[in-house]
Amino acid sequence: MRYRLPIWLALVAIALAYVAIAGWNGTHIRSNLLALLPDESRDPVVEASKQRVKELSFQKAVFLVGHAEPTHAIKAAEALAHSLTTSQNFQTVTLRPDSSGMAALLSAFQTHGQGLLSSSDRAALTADQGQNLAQRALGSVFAGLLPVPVATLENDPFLLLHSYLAALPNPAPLLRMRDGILLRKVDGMTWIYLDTRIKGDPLSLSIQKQVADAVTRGEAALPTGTMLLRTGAVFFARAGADAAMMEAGTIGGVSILGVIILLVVVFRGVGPLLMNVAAIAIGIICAAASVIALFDSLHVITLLMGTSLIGVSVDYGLHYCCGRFGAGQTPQQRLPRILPGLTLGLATTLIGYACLAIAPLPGLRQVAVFTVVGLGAAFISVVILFPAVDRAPQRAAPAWLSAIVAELWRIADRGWFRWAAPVLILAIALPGIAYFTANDDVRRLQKQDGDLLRQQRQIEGITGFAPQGHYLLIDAPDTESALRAEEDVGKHLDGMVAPGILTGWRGLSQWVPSTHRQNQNRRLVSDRLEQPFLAAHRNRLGLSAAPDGAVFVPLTLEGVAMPKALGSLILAPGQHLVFPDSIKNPDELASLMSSNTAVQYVNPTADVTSVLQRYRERALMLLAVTIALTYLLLMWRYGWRGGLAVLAPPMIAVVAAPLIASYAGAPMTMFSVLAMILVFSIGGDYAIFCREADRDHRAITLMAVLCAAMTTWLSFGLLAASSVATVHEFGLTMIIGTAIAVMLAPTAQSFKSRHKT
Amino acid sequence: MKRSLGAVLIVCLGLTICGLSAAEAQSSQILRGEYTQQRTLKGLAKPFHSAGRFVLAGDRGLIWQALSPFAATTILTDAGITQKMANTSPLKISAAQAPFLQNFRHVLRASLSGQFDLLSGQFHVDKTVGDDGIWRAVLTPGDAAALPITRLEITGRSGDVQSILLVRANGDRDLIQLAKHERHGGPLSPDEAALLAASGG
Repeated sequence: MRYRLPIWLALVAIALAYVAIAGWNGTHIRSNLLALLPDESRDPVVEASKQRVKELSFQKAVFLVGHAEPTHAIKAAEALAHSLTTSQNFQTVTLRPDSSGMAALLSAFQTHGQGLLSSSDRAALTADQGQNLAQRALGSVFAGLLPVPVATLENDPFLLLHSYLAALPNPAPLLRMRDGILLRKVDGMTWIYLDTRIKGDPLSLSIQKQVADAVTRGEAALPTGTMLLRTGAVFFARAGADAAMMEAGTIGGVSILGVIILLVVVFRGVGPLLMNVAAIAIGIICAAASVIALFDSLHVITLLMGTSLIGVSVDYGLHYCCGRFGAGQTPQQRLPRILPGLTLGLATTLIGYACLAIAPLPGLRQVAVFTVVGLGAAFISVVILFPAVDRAPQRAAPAWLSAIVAELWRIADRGWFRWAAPVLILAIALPGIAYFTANDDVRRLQKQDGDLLRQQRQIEGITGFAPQGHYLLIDAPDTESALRAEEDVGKHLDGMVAPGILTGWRGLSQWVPSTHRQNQNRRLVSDRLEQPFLAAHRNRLGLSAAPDGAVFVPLTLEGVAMPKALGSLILAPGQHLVFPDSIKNPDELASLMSSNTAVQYVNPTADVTSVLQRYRERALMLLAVTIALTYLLLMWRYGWRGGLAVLAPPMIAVVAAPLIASYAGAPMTMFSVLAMILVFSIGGDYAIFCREADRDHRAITLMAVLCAAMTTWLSFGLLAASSVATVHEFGLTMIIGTAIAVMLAPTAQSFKSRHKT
Repeated sequence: MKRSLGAVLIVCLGLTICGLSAAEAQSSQILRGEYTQQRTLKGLAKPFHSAGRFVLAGDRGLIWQALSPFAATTILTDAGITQKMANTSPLKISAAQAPFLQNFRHVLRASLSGQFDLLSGQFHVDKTVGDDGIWRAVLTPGDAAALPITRLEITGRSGDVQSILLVRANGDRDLIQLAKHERHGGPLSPDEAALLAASGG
């Protein structure tokens, strides 16, 4: 036993070295929330499509340069484009979109376009109205303003390709092209559209700063009277990071300062502060080492949740440190008196944390390992390290603290208190059921910058297009069946455009229809248009008799050089993306897809939301299991009535906290369930400590509980001041739950036989 | 719910803009007249003849309405070109899909109204006035011309353009003769305004 401290410190040193080496070797901290989903539910094709969509949209940054004078606006946009290009922070800066890719596709249409029909022309031919199409062609040639070269007429006397091209989806319905530049005049302002892709990951802080600096430099050089609107993930991410850092700075600063002041004032020295910090640090190091050893990586959510949960160990440290306020105790005598309570507190908390491992969710399993190891290590540090380094003599507690504690016990000792207090709390909390809701929306995790949102809406209003995060994924064995599936679903999408549910959609089959469709079209044209009308039509136009038709060779996706924008819709042969334009109700899209197995609706935002929902539901179920197991343990030590008396305070706190928080409009989220787990383990510790305390030591026990509660308020409770909704709700639940747990902790002494220690 | 609200807002915004430009156009000149068009396509023996009415509504657009040999209406605006005929769905080509439309409209507007100075950037203008008061302008493209037009010959008397001959690079030509010019400050008839608005003008 003499060597247990050196052995423990050696173990901690090994863990520290292991974490350092793993970090050095590039063990990465993972931050993709979807990595937390159970493995079996993740389809690699869906994941690949999400990756592609992320690449397409994530690095995009769009600018609108506005000026009252069109020529000034163009000059300003050119200056900004030049400035951004020379900054080296952008992959592409596109002021004049390149149309050469489109030109190659158009020339393929001219040679292989005999099977292309616009949907209205197909409908006309299906309804046997070929006469009207012939008439339309004559109208264009006779009376139109646009030139119609004879070469075109020879190939396509009914001008069906013209009609097909005109019906292709327009990528920018509101913008106008002038001198190769996309622009729009609105309310006397001319806005120039500038499309860019940044270099690197928009979530990287250094990339964010470089891009922002480049834009600021470019903006500063713009002539007076110029307005600049911007949107893109990089700007939102930067604003989010700025706000989070500001908040972390203020809330975190106040919190740390508060804890330091509290501990220094209560203990009149820095010893207890340093000892507790050491215990938590050792806990985190050992926890990280074990997670890396078992899982090969550490998820950022594990780190966040786990570190909060390990924070409970401050309860043990403070319980020990308050021993110095007890009469006639040397540092070595302080531990044995509280060890049974500490051990039981640890056991109940470990039950709760270990239960997280039951859930079939990889993220929670990591959290379970992290917290069980971390809390265990912190506990061992308190038990082994604290008595060894503690030199503090016995001294009286601060008078104010003694007075508060004495008053609390005086109230708690009244017979009615142990019944009235729980009833009163529940009576206050229960009507909260009426306001109680759950909300797992992932967007509540980040507060979006108001000014950027305004700019984004303005850009949407001017350009007419909005970034769409959701899409359809076609997964078929080959290109032909993928195109046919797309045409099948396209029919339904077109049906949604007419009543205004959908503004439009973009897919490959609109540009290159399936071979099946092209052959069908070709037959339709031949049977309904050419055989009855072609000879007369050519005669009317003054063309010579029709040459013998060459064999029709349909256009194929593989056979044409695709423009980049269209090529990016192909993930792999047979796997295509289809993007809906703005849609009123995405659920209609989702329900539409159930009929065709090759087509699925993917909404990454909704997927993350459902991850959060599943984690919340599982965590809530596990909390119930934890409560049951904890009761069994408490019953073993205190009997069934005593066990209930100890269980009641944390349980009432866990039930009442979210209900009372819902008066403030706070819905239940995964993070508030996390707060409930914390409240239960903290409240359990408080109740056990009070139960274990004999009459002589119950004052210092309540002091320890009070100190622990105050540090909890300062560390977790202050998060209620956060502007991020979920973080705010976490803090609120912690404040309310811990307050109830402290208030009711003394009632844990109920049904206690006088002589048991 | 938010998205649909956004769509409604965008539509409202669109209507406001249409409303504003309508108000603007009322203050500018409107030119109406009748025309005959003779189109000669290289490679075809006989030319095509058509006749009808036109309305040039300043910067808003041009309505070209053939009445014979059959009714066909072409509307050219900032947004693109729309061709309407009975019994078929209108054919629309947006300016974003066919960028040359913008310049084509510009050339037509300047030619129909006789404002050659608008074209001096891309054409070399040679104007002579005969003894009978009829002027004749020959426009040949400079380096900056973006359209495949090799020659424009325009004749007229005082402010009115009487004929336009447009020769394309492939040899196709359009000879347009104008008559019964009518100029006034507006407003457009509701039908005309509706045609332009439906075509994004």
